[in-house]
Amino acid sequence: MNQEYSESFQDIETRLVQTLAPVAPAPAFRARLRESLLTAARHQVLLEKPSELRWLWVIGAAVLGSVAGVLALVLRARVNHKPSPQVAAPSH
Amino acid sequence: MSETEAQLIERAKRDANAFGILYERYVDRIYSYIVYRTGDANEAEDLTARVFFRALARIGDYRQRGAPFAAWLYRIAHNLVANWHRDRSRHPSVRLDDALTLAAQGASPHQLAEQSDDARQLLDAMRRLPDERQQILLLKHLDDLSNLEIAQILGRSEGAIKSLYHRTLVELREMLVSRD
Repeated sequence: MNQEYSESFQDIETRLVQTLAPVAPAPAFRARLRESLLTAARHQVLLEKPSELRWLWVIGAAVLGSVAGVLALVLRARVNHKPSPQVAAPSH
Repeated sequence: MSETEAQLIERAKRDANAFGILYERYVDRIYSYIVYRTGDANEAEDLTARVFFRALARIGDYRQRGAPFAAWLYRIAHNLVANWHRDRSRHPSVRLDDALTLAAQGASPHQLAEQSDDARQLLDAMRRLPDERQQILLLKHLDDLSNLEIAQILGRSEGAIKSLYHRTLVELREMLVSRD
């Protein structure tokens, strides 16, 4: 019974393998699509580079901004801590 | 040292020629799958082109997660084919006329005559199976994928695919017996 059962599946599987043969695309289509993809891929790479540079600009500007902010704070703190001119003590 | 597929994919994110190598590696398999899923050679060319353009647009987001690159491509192909069927308001089924004609190229007239009846009978039965079961049969027998690889493409467990495949064979056999 089991053998008969597995044999019948084997038969269907063999028929499936024979029937579902791989199909190749037409060589002209294959080559044309390859060219289109490579052109698009090159454009994509070119388009992505400026965006990387844009990020570098943003990061650079942020770093410069932070440095300028810290410098401003330091200068302000120095100004505030300058010793005030000594008032002359009243003479007796 | 030869480049692994993972390295090639990483390179393809910024190098057009590397993407070209991936295309050469997978275009025949994807096209073949789509021809059997649509049964129309012209539509298959259009959908194959869309699969690879979509892959190109999204390859920057592709992350290696254990599944083969082919599984990612098949998922794209599966989604596009499903949309194609939906757009035409058809019941998702395999139209196999073009597939059979193309597959038979190179066969002798005698072989053709002998094979075609048997093949058409089997494919007619396949056409009546639910979409997912047709897919399992194609991925397993057309592309020789393992249950695990099919599971990764369909987003199911390996056990679920094994059991679904078995049920599909039972159903297919019953259909063929009832026709005889």
